[in-house]
Amino acid sequence: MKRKFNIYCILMLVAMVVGLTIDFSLNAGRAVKMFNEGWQAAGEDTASDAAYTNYTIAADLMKLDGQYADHHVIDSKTGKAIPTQLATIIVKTGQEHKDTYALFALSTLFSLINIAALIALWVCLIRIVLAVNRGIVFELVIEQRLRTMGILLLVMYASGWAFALSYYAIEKSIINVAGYEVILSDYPALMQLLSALGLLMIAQIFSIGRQLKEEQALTI
Amino acid sequence: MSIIVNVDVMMARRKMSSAELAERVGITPANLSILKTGKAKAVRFSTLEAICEALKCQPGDILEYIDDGNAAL
Repeated sequence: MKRKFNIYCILMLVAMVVGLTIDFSLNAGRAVKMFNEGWQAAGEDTASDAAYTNYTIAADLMKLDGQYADHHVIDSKTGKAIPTQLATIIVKTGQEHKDTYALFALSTLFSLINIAALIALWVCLIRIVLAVNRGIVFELVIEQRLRTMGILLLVMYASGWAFALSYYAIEKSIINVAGYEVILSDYPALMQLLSALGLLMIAQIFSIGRQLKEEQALTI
Repeated sequence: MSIIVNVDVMMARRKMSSAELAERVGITPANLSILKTGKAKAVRFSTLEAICEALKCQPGDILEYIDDGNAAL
């Protein structure tokens, strides 16, 4: 029984590593570019009278009138121009945006909360795996850790939304593209909320299992 | 606990020790102690049968119901 449990744990770990690898390989270039620009901006000279900050912002756009033909790209097979519209842009702006400092700080805070919750979640999971391998299954400690994991996932969902909304507010205040509207993007998936509730349900099932086990132990 | 297991009385009448009764019934002395102190959540019929056989008594001789609102007479 423990062997099957451990196999599932390994499969989960492999799936996570594969997912992260794919994600990184697809987005690493953009992430490194933005990191380098941010690093460089932090070292640039500032004006004497006002803080001058370069922002690199990535925003999702929605065409307001639904029509193409604002932009064109060339189809390399036919040589013809294909009407296109923007969906995502990455812009670097050198404008002063003091009004966004508080929002940036907030979004950073929510991001840090998210990361802290994720680390705590992994610690809980590892401790559960180790405890199950020691034969501790339907015990109060496992129930509490499962409940903690569910709450941490809820915290991650909430902080994810908070981050997305604060970043959206920053995008709206900095970017204004003619014919387009900046839309909310990168918000947490509903699956994360469902997973959190699912974990809380499983914690309750373990609670029932623990009570049944205690009753069984006191059945003479 | 509303159901009381009065094993001590029958054990005294039969002059039987806890260890001897536990051995005859097929349970551990610890479980017998749980039974005597009223901490048991449930008793199997097989265990009850073995206790009655060992103490030569009826289930009613060792089981007593107490209404939690009233003291037993």
